[in-house]
Amino acid sequence: MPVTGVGVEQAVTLSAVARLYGRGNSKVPALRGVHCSFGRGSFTAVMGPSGSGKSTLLQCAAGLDRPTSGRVFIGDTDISALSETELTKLRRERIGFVFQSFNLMPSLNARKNVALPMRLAGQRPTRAQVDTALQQVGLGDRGGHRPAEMSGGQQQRVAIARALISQPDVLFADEPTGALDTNTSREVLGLLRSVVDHAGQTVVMVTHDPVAASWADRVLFLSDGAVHGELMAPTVAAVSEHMARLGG
Amino acid sequence: MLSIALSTLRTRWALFAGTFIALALGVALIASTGQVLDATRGSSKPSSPGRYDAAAVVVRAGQSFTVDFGSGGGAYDQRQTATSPHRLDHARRTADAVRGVPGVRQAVVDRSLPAQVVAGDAGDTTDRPVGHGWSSAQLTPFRLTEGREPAGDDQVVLAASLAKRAGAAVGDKVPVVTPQGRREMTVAGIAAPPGKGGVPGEATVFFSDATAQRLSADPDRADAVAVLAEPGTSATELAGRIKAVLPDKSLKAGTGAAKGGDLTAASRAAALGDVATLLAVMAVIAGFVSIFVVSGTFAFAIAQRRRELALLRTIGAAPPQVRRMIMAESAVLGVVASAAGCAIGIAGGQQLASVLSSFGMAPKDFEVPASPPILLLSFFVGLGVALLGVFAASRRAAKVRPAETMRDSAVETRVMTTGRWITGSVFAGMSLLLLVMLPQAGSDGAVVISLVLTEILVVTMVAFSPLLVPPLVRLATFPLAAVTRITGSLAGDNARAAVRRTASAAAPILVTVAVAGSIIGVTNASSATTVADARKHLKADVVVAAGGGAGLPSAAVRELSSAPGVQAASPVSETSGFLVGSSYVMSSGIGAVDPKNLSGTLRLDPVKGSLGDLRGDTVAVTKLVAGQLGWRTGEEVDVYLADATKVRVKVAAVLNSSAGLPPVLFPQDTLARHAPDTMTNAVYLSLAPGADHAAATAAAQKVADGYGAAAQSRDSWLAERASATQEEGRILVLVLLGMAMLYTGIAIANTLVMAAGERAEGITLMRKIGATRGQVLRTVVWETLTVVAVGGVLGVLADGVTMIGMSRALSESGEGAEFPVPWLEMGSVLAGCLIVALLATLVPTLLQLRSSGRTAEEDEAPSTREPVLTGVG
Repeated sequence: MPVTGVGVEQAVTLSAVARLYGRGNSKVPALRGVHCSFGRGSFTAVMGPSGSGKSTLLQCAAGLDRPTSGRVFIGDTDISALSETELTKLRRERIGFVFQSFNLMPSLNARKNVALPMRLAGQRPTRAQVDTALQQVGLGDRGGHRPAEMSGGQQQRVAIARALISQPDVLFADEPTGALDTNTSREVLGLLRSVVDHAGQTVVMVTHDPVAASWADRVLFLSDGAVHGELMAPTVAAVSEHMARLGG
Repeated sequence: MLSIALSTLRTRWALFAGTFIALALGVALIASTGQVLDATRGSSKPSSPGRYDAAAVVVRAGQSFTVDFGSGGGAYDQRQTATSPHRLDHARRTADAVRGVPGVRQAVVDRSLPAQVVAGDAGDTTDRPVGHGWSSAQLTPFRLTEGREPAGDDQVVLAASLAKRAGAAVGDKVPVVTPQGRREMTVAGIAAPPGKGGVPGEATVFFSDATAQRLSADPDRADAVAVLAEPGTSATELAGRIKAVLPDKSLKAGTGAAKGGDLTAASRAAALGDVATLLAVMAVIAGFVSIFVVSGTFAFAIAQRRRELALLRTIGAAPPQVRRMIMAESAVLGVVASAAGCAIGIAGGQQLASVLSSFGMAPKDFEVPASPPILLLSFFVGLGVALLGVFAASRRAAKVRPAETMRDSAVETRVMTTGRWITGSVFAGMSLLLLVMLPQAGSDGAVVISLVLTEILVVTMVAFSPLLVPPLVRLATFPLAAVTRITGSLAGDNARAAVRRTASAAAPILVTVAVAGSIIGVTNASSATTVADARKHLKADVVVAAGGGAGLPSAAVRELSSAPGVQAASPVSETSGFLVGSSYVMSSGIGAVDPKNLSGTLRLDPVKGSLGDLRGDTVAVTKLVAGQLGWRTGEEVDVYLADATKVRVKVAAVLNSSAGLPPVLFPQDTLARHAPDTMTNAVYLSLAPGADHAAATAAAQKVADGYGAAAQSRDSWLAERASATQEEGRILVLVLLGMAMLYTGIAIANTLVMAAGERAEGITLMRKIGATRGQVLRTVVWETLTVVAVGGVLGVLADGVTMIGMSRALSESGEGAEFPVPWLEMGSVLAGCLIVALLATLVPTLLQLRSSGRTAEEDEAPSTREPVLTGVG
């Protein structure tokens, strides 16, 4: 896909991003020269069979990993040129993360977990701010509970609240519903959908579940480290069929 | 970051419990030994009552002396304090001058001389047997509790504690031995300071003033002139007025603590002797193991919390913030644990003293007050240890990459980091240096240096463990793999793959074995050598040794030499003093022998010079000490006796060794001339050829009985000396070893419990793919066995190197450095390690197997551990 210009409309842009692992003769290409971008206020799902490089894509896009070659832009900032300290600041202020599991610090309660990124930046969110964030994910009354005292779905929702409290440019989610049952998954996906629709948040979600992908505006398919097509306004059937063709 | 650190500590306290205990105990140990050492140096509160408590001012000669070295710009001096009272001359003239000063009610000439009561258990104490004139009694004050004051030459008043030990009552006749001989005295009365049994450290006998004067070697020399003041007189002003009238301007008039008279500090220090040094080493070991345990715990904790740390990094914690959080955790832990340790340490000093005195290694009334400065110091040491221990781990924590949150990533970190190379090389260099220094150290120095050497070797090995451990594991698992079907080789694979975990688990075992081995080996070696040395050099047939603190007067030696069958009686005295070398002053034991009668009783081999020249103002010195001081045969050197008397002597001979006697030997009459109060400690008797040994020994015993001494045949005396030395060594070893093992035991348990946590996932996997519980348990047991074996081998290696160095050192300063390998003791130590290790590993494993029997699916929960079968550190 050609890059349609680095600008304010694209929240995240990847330009010829390649990532090789290993040393010497045994180098393995996880990503081969990928071009893609994610528009502001869009909900994109990234899918592919295992080994397709979707997690690597997420890591490079989010600044968690440095590509071997190519450039990554968050808005119009070239993050491949940033130092480790600047990347860290970026992660605090402009990027949000939700993972499949292990999202929260086990020794802190929900309120403290939600406030954590801002406190790392040296700011102190007010109690009201934190409680509002928790209310928005429907957990206003669970502020004082620790992760061990909450269900999987509740933990994911706290993670989303934490990811959103600093109003980031983009929220990256790695298999956010992978460990949840169907009903809880629907709640979490619904939450993601609503922040995109009502707050204009940009969400990029990696998943292998066609049902989850169907909640997105667009699905990007990866195979063997390269982009293999995309689907707009996806349905479960269309996604499954595309995946079957890819061999996933 | 601090609040995250606090939350982590609060919720995961079980993880840190081991570290907390180890650190708190370590600080308590350091605080206790510190307070004990402080009490021996007498820098703490003086004992009560002090001998001169009732006196307002005490006039004494200066108790210290200064020796100058060098010249011009490089000149320096060294000051030493006498360990025996330095007496003042012209006591009568001084007392007369003082008496005339307004405000002086009475001026007392205070004399002391060695006076031993030979009755009951009077000799069974570390108190110095001292006699005074009765006018000195009011200086403490001693008040009569029974009877009257002594009148006439054959009456005495005993201190209450002494009377009780001797089983003497008013009216009894007791023999009293002084340098002038043995005399039957009548107990005229018993006296004591109010509320106590006597002055601590002294077994006091009061003569009448005239008798005390007559018994003193020089009646015009006295310990002090003590002043009782008119009521309402200011002590300081009085002291000023007195100083002005003193005929000898070098005398000092002291008030308050400067009155002195506290012999107890010196006698306490003498009684504790080597124990003090070893206590200090013990405290160092405690600090060392603490650092070890703290760093081990934190290394493990960080390995287990990798995902948590990666999460922090992902959501925006910069590496320095992560480091600060880890260090904050350690600092908080350090503060709380050190505070707990100090709280224990408040009473700990006294507890330690009671333990030591119950083993006979310290005087029974040894008081160790709580010392706030030492407690504060221990607190900061504990905090420092916590921060030091966490330093390396915090840097590793900061290096965790954010991407690790997402998967259980197989991290390919090199286990042998630059830090390890540097540390290992530096410490290897230091151990080489110590090995080279050992032979020059002398037998006492060798003990300390050897113990330190072991610890340095341990650090070297721990640093290089990633290189040393895998080949050892391979070696250890060959037999296991051969003997078992699958569990042995599986254990071997696990141990080899998780190099960092195996090395970390083997490390505390290495420390335990090395520390234990060095303490046992070193004390065994030095006592065995002393005994062998004595055996080689003693030619006498009968040995008469003085019991108690005083010794044998020359009258006793004369009686013994005229006993039936005795050809020669050679007296030997032991005291202490200071030797002036070319660049420093060394405190040392000083002995005296009778060179004329020596040949039949003792063999001293001169390397240079000749024993025939040992007469008049000459000394013989051992090769080792001569080397340390820079003394050569024929040279004129200065020796200061214990009471700061300076004697100029010529070096007549340099000896190979002094056969268990002090390293500097005077001729008997020379020492008697300069220190008239010195009494003989032992008399070596050689019998005429053909004499009846048994009869001669019995005759000698009859003489000895009168002086509170014991006569023994050569063999019996050597055997008793050997077993006494060994017994002393054994007690010391038990006490020190006990403390060390408790400590390292915690380290072993702590490390292995954490290793079990890491192993948990692997065990779950094994169960799922069909291993029975028995197979899982056996695998774990073999792995633990391997770890113990590896740690044990490396520990024994460290000990081996130390013992080689030690034996070279001992053969320099004596003869026949022979020591048996302590199989039994080392075996028990290894067995102990094995038991602790197996318990620490099996209990978590059994618990896990029991619970995992129920739920297989629940193991999918968020896992923070790395899989065991990949090459992970």
